[in-house]
Order: sequence, then structure tokens, then C-alpha cells
Amino acid sequence: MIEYAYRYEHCSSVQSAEAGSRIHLAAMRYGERQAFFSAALREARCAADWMLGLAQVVNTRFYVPPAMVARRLAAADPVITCGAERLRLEGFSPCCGAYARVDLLPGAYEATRAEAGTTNVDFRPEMRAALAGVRHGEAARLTVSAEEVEFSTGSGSAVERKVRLPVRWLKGFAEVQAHQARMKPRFTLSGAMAQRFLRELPRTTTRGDVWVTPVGAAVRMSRSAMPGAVRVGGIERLRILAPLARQAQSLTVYAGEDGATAWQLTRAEMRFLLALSPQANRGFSGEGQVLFPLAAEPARKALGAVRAALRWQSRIAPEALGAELGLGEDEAAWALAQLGVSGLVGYDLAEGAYFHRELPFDFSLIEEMQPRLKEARRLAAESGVRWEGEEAWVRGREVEHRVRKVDGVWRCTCPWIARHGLGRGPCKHILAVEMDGGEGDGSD
Amino acid sequence: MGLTEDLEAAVHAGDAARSEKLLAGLSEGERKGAAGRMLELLREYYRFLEVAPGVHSRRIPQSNAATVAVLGTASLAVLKKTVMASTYPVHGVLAERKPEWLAEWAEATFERGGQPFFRDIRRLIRDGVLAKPRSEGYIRAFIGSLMEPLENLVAREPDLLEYEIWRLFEVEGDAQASLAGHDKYVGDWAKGLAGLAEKGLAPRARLLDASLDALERDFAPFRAAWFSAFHESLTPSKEERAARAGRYLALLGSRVSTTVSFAMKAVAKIEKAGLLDTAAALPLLGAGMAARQKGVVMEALQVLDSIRKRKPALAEATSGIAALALVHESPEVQKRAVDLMEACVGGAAPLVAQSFQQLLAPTQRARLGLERPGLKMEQRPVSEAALEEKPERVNAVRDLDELVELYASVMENAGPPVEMERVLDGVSRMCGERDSRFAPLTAPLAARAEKFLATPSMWAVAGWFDGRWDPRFSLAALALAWIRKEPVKLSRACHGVCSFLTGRVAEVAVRALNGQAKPLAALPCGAEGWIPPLEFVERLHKHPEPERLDLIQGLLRLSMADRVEALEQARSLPGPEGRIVRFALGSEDCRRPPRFFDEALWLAAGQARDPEGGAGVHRLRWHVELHRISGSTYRIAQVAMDSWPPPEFDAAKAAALTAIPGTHDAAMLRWCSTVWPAHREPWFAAGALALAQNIDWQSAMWGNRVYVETLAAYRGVYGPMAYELLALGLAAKETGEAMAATDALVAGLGDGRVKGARLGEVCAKLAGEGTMTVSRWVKRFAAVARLYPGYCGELFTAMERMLAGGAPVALRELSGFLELLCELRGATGEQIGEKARAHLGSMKLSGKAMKFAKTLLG
Repeated sequence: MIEYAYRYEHCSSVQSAEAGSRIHLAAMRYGERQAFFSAALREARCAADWMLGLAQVVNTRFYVPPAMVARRLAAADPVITCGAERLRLEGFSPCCGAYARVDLLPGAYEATRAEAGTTNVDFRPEMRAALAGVRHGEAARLTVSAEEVEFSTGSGSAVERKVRLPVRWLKGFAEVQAHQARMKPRFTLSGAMAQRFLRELPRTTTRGDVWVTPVGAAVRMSRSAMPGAVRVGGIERLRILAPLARQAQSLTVYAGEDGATAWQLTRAEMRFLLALSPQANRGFSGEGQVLFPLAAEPARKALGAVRAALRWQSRIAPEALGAELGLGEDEAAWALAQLGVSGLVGYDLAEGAYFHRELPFDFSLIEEMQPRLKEARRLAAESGVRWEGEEAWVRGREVEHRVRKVDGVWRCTCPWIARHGLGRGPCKHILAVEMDGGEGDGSD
Repeated sequence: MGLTEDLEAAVHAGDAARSEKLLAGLSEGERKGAAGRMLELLREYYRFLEVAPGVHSRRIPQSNAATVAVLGTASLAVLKKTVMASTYPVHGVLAERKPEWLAEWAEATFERGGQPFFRDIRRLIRDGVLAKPRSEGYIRAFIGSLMEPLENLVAREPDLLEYEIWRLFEVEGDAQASLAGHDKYVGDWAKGLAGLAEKGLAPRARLLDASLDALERDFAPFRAAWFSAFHESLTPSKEERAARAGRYLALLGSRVSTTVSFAMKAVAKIEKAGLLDTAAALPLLGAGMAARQKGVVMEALQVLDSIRKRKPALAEATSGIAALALVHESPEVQKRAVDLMEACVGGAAPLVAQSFQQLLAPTQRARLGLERPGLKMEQRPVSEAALEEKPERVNAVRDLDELVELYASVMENAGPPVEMERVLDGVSRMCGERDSRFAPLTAPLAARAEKFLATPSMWAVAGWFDGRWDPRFSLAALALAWIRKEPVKLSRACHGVCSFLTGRVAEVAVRALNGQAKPLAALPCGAEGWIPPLEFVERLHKHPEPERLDLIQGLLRLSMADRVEALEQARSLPGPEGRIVRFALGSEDCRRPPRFFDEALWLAAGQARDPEGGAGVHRLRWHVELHRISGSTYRIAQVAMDSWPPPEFDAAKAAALTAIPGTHDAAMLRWCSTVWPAHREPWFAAGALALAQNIDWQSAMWGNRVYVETLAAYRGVYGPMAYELLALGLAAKETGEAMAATDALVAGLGDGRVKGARLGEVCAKLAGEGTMTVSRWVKRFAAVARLYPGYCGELFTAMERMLAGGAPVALRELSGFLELLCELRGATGEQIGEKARAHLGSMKLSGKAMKFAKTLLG
């Protein structure tokens, strides 16, 4: 657990006035750079609804392990990023299996001031209640600031809320970017069709995978894979989108090969993204998709250059960045993946590119919070890897595990790989071999 | 004696009043000295209460006295961490001490629930010692503290009307304390607050507004529902509602369905009274159209219709909003919307509905002259070849490296079945090889197998009846037999097909123990389990004399292709095995078994020779009992199978006779499904039985889904039991089972293997048993019809046959049933037959059901 304190100098608030509502999101002071944003929202009701949807994801445990019923974790406040004509609010569920983001694109608002930065915003129940009261067709002004504003109706005093953020929550927040970077758009539904699909979702927990298959302009849920189908675990989690889809013009579905999916509602210049882990009981934190980048040595060289090139861009494509910095596309992508682990970039599926933001958490320990990586470093350091030709033998708890590459794919005889393959990231033995050089010397 | 000793004596004596008196007038410094000991005493007495609950009442005075002493001496930091309660009033000791952190302590107690000291804190507030806390915790504690009529409480503490009562409408509460939760289980806040309004103690208008405020606050559905119910309990007048029309309209966009329903009813009442500001209402009514509940959308359409009549100038705008209701799946809602659109814009209605075309019910599409979306039904004729479909060829494991990795994978994941077969074959083929790499390579596998067998959860978690049939158990035992030469200990009792499979594992284990390497004759060539006869014969030529169960398994997996050629090849197979194989392949010269024969082996050969001939007839037998429990009558169905095998100790015979697996373990069931792919009827019968016994999901039998998944993947001809399993799957409550059954229905209708007439007859028969929920069939048929218009004809036939077969449909389900039938009729243009007509005509109908019946009969 990481003790994390949210400190706001005032409360978020919504003030109703003749000219429309004024939504003020109280931001946390974080570092030297302060996010500041002030704009008139073009579709305030929809923006408010989608922010509430984000708050719901942040507050929902989609999976409660049987032994943990009583131990409910405090929800973390969403993270807001202003920069390059985008306003993004991100949140992660306490169960680590769902990530949500609201993107307000330039057409969604008329900004009078927009300064780049990332921070937490106060999203306590009072704020949610106030947001729910924004009327249809009403004009609204949104302000994000660490400073107290004149119309703030909150208590006026500083607000401090300490939460215990589990390590896996931080890991998951970083991990989800790696998953998204591997997803591809699969199909798009019209807003009306999306509403109907979301209404038909199971209302109870469905064990196992469900395939969502496009049939004409509609979709069908089935238990067996079909061409073009997207596999979804814990599909009932999508129900959170049902009330939000009323305002959407379309729903685009993204999926990768690892079972994680992303569902994006779009309305003119606004987007709501919900990314789901492969199963409700599998948080993104344990998926291990960032372990290879973390363990990799080559990317470290490019890392500094890529990091220095971050300037709150809303679109960072590896190939363009690589060309700009004189790096290969793979090298740039590798470096961006590593920066994603550090919370320095997020991934925007609609753009098919990364965007710069700096998560307001201390990610310096994240590498140490990866047990597999830690163990692998220990094994590599303690000469736990022994080579026999092209096969490596890595010391386990009781026995040695054989690690080898077959057709370019790592294999290991340990139970982790036996159970998950590489679908949930490499095991510590493979990582140790990677750190040890990755290839045998060819001699026995 | 000093203070500590005096207080200790008072605590031991259970004299809380004396504790309080001893602390009077002391400085903080003096109190501090006794704090540690008092805390110890408090913990001691609390621990005593925990370990000796029987002496509760005798020890409460001591714990009360200790609580008073701790509150009078301890620091804030200690008090924040200490859980305590007292039946003795503690406000006196706190008022007398009056620490500067009193407000902070009060907030801390509220954060922990706050109940134990709420009355004391209230007293401190009334006495002016403490300012009113502004936290939500205070209000939650207030909610939980109501144990008397609210009117009495307010009469005693009138200041509650200034702040606390109104804060009730701003605080959602939590699982421990909320207005909804309290009224459900303990008291009656709603009645109390309404009483205050009635007596003029609380302004009625403010209560109405406050409850609407609460509904705008994004509370959870259960807690929000209390506020809408409370608002209605005040029975607002027309004028009161009209004054709040804008607020009701805004609530139509709520995420809480009960709030939307409540708001829609209120708007309808305002419109009925002619008091709705139509221009302002129109854009907001669109949110009501997106409601999930049919009643809400119908009511919204009613309001729109009324607006149209009152303000003809708004007709066009009204039509656009009515079109939003077309998203709703109910044909009735869609009809009402189209009616309204036609009334508003006449011939332009199709244009308005154009963008919703793909969502429209057939009748409405036909009415608007819109074409059906182009989904062509793909009909593939059923052929013998369908039985032989093998998507992927299964190859034997190449070497020890692959075997070790594959073995570890199937042991971790309990499958898939074809990989388990590859592992059995791999061990069987390689059990004679032991080079220098063997020990290090297999060591991790052996260690893992040992752990599996030693883990108690393998038995405890999976349940004693299922755990023993988890295939990982027998695979772990085999691993140890192969790697460490440890003898296997597998059950010999017969529990159906799973005993047969574990018996096969035991056969390989014995071979591995003895180092007798030989490939399996029964290694399947496809995922479903098939073995082409030519390949089987070739295997026997190369490796004669297979093990008994291996041979039986091989025979049961023989496909129908190339049997003549295979028989020719089998002529030279030696010994009794050759004779059995030739018999299985249809040879005429060995129709009879020898005098002393293995019954199970010849039975399997017989089944392989004529899969459908020897399997017997399977039929489910229903027995419905009525049970009266607490004044209600429950229908409980007992289902059994006529063809259930007699107690039989030869598992091989059981496998050849029936497909009853004898387990609910999903992984084992998947493996069992590959035992006899040639004739699926017994397997489907077992599935039908399993589903029928749990049709309303009385118990979480997740494994049952495997039967329906097998049906969905099945590409053969549908027999009676396949139809029965399909019908039961479509009627199942569990979403996964129903989804798999829908997959099977779509696949079966797609290639013409499922006939609507036959399905309808089976559904009618099952409905006749009286335990089916017909609306589930209706729901699933409707979903298929919406997505695959080409299947409407078969679905119409199925429903028509259900009607003709006299399927008893409960009255509450009848209108939905007839509505879908009308829709399918509209889509296909077909008419119901004479028998269905007669049955429908003989039914006593009313309301919507009568309307639909008239359409069908007309």
C-alpha cells in the first residue's frame, strides 16, 4: 500500500447562475507546473454525464475477491490533463480491472485559458451531486485550478483526504497504456445500436468469456468465437456505459490479442473510453505487459532523448518521434512504452498515438513494485542463470527451469508460463535470462 | 490513594458515576497520569466481553465505568484509535473536561459509525459545549439513531428542524446508514417526515423540493428510490407539481431507472392537467424515450401525443422526439411511436424513421415501407460430410521438450481435452526414453504434480464430489508415475464416463511405470475426438495389441468415412483385436462375438459399427410436485432419465452404453464430450437432464454449460435429445447457457439442421411439464429474429407449433408470446395453422393478448 494524501486548497463546486452553471474542479498542487483551464463547454449536460460516468468507474469495484468483502478500498480521484488543445480526465477502478477516460477535444469548449499540466481533481460526492444537477441545454463554464475561485461554494477551507492506494493500482494505471498501444479498432456501432446492445447486457455476473460479434449493423453476444468477434471477459462491466450511451453518436470497439478491450463512446468533440481487463478478476496490474520494456537495456539509451522531447503533445506517434530524434520506430515505441510505465505518457486509441501527461503519483518505485522483475534482477545478479548452449537453466525455488526460445518465442518450464503462456507477461526466469544477455553462446 | 487507584477501584466496582465524579475539576496534566491504566482496564473489560459473552450483562457496568474513565483521561490520538461504547451517558464527563479537540473527536466517532455516542454528542450540542458538526458522518449517525417516532424527537429537540432534518436530503448514506436502509430494516423516516409536514412542523414545499434535490444528486439506485417514494408519499397537488415541472423534466435524464419512472409519471400528470410548458418540455422528453422500461417510454409517448394535440405547431418537433423511442426493442413501443409520427408528419414518417431502420420490428418496417436490412440467410444442406468436419488436424507430440511444456500447461489449465490426449499419447510413446536430459527437464513437472496432489484445496474447494474428477488430479498422478515411478492410486469405482477416462490414464501410468513405450491407438485426429478408420487400422498394424480401454476408446471415436477401405486394410489384423475391429468396421464374417468375450469391448465395437442403432432411446421423465411454503405454492420439478444405466462397475461398459459423465466438473465434462463423437444423442440426453434439473439456476452448476457448448459446436443431424437440449438451453435462466443455446440455434437454423416445426413441438412438450418460463423462449427467439431476418420463417413455425401443441403459456407471458408471433407473421406473411387457430380460439383472453390473438386469427 502507498499512503497518498489528496490536498486541495478548496472544494470542487458547481454554481448555478442565470447565465448557466459554473463547474469548478479543484486541482491539487503538484510540482512546479500548475494546470489551469477555463472554458465554456458546448455540451455541458453530456460532459457532466460522462464525468459522472468516470466517477462511477473510479468508485466501482467490479470484482471483490471472496476474502476481501469487508476491505473496500478508498477510491482515488481522477487525474486531469490539460495540454495541446485537449482536456482529459482519467480514472482507474479500485479493482484495477477498468480504466476510463473522458476526452474533451477542441470543439467541445471555448477556452479562455488553457495551461498545460496534469494533476488530481477533487471529485467527492458533493461534486458529483452538483454535476448531476447540470441541466440539459444549459450553458456551463468549466474551470480547473488549484486556486480557489470567487464563486466556489465549498467550505472554503483546505481539503485533505488520505487514501491508501494499493501498489497494484499504480501498476495497473501504467499497465493499461501498454495494453491500449497494442489494440486495433474492430468495429463501430451507431449510437442507437449501441444503446440497444448495452441494454441487452447480462445483468448478473457471467462466468467465462463472451464474444461480441458484428451482425450487419448490430452485434450479437455469443459463447463461441466467430470471425470478427471480440472476446470480452466480465462483460457485465460494460453496463456502466448504458446510461452514457444515450448521448453518444457511436461506439467503437478496440481489442488486442491479449483479451483486453476498449469501448469508446463518441459524441461530436467528446469521447468516453472504457478499457477492460481480460477478466473481471484480473486487474491490469498483474498482466505484466510492461515487464519486457522495464527489463530491456536497449531502450534505456533512447529513453533520455524521448523523454526530453515530451512537450505536452496530444499526439506522439513512434515513427514520427523516431524520425525527429534519429531513432528507429521500434526504439521510439520501446521508449514510449517505458515512459508509459512511469506515468509520463498515456495512449489515445482514437488517435492511435501516445500523449504526454505526468501522472501525479510517485512512479519512481514502480520498477521495484514488480515482484517478477525484482526476482529476475536478483536471479541475474546472483548468477541464477546457467547456460547450456542455447538453453538457459534458471534457478527456481526447488528445481531449475529450462528457458529457451522457439521460433522467436520464449518458453519456460515453470508453472506461470504453463498456466498463462506469455499472455500475462514473462515469468521471472525469462526476465532473468533477458537480463543475462538473452541468447546463449552456442556452446555447451 | 492516587487518582489512578481511585479510578481503578471505581471501574472494578462498575461505578461510572463515581468515575465521572473523580475526574471533575482535574487539569489535563492530572488526567494524563491515569490515562494508560484506564485504557488497559477498558481493553481488559472489552476483551472479557468478547471471550465471555454469557456474562455480558454483569460486566457492562465495569466497561461503562472504564469508558467514562478513558474519555476523561485519554488523549485525542488514543481516543481516535479506541473502539468503545457506553450505556451510561458520557456527555457529563466530556462537558466537564471540555477539551479543545472535542469537535475533532466527535467527527472521528462519526467516521467510525458514530452510533454509540450520538445521543451524548447531541446533548453536548444542545448544551452549547459543541458546535454542530457539518460532516456527513454526523447525519449518517443521526439516520441510524432514530428509534422513536420522529415527531416525539423533534418535540424534544426542535433545533433538529433547523439543520439536521434538511441535511438528510443531501447525504446519501452508506451500507450501514441510509434512509432507504433504515426504513427497510428498522424505522420509518418517511412516515415521520411526512408526519412533520402534516402537522406543519416542517414546510411541505421545502420537503418536496428537498426530495427532488436529493434525486438530482447521483445517489445509488436503492438509496435514490427512497426519495422518489417519499416525494410521492406527500401526494403533491397539480399546482405543486406544475411549479416543479422543470425539475421533473430534468430528472428524466437520471441514470436511476426508478427516478426516471417517477419523473415521467409526474410529467404525465402535469400534462394531463394541461399545465405543462410544452416548448420547454419537448427537448427534455427525449431523455424519457431512452428509458429501458417499456412503461416509461409508453408514458412519454402518451405525453408527446397530448402535446401534439394541444399544440399542432409542434408536430414536427414531436415526431422527431417520438422517433427516439424506436430504439426500444418492444414492437408495441415502436408501433406507438410510429402511430405518433404518422399523426404528426403523415407521409414523412418513413423519412424520420430512416435512421432507426435496422432497429425496427418487422411489422413497423412493413408499415413504413422500409426494406429489410440485407442479411441473407445462409442455408447449407446437411450432408454426411457434415459429420466429418474436422477443422484442424491433431498431431502427436514431437519430442520430450514439447511434451514437458505441454504437460505442464494441461495440468495447470485442466485441458483442453485434445491436448490432454496428446499428453497421454506422448507419455505412452516416450516412457521408455531416459537420457541425461530427462531428470532436469521433468523435475519442475514432478514438483508441480506433487504439489497438486498434496494441496488440500484440490478436494476442499472443488467439493468432494467434483474434486476427485478434476482431470488435473489423475494427470498429476500419471506425471509422478512416469517421472518418479510412483505407483498410481486411482479410484476403481464407476461414476460414469469420467471413471472410464481416469481408467485410461491409469493404463498409461502402468505402462509408464514399466517403461513399455507405445503410442495410443485412441489419439483423436480432430478437436471433437474423431479418428478416421484408415488411420486407426494403420496404428494397429504398427502397434498391435493396444490396452483394453485404449482400444475401446479408439473404437468409440471411429468416424464413418472410408470404412470399406479400412475394413480391407483390417483383414490382416491379428488376434481377437483384429476381429473386434473388423466387426466395428462392418465386417459380415464376424457378426458374433466369441464364446468367452469382453462384453464392454464388443459393446463398444457394436456402437462403432452402428452408432445410432445400439444406443437405446433416451427420454426425460418429469414429475412435478406442488409444495406450500409459508403460504406460497412452489412447483418443484423432479427430472430423471429413463435410460439411466444400472449400477455398473465396468466403467468401459458405461462409456459405451451411455454418456452420463458422473461429474459436474467443467474440465472433465469437456474431456468426456470427446469419448463418443459418433453418436451425440446420449451426451445431449445427459445435458438435457443436467439443464432440466437446474433450469432456474437453483444451484451454481457452471459445468452444465459444456453440454450446450458442445451442441453449439456440433455439426451433425439433430436428434430428439439434441432438440430437447436446445429447447432447455433456450429456456435456461443462466445467461451463459442461454447464450450457447442461441449460438446452437443460429448455427442450426443457418444450415437447416434445426427445423422450426420440430423445435416447436419439443418446446410445447417441455412447456406441458409446467416448469418452463415461456417468456425466455420468446426473448431468445425475438433476439435471433431481430438479427437474422432470414430465420423468421422457422421461428414462426416453431412458435406456431408451440401454440398448436397446446403449450400452456402463463397469462402474464401470453401477450409477449402472441406479440412475437404477430411480428414473425408480419415478417414472413405466413398464417397460423388450423390446430393453432383452434387452440387460440378456445383460450379466454383479454387486454393485449386478445388484441394480438385477433390479429393472428383475422
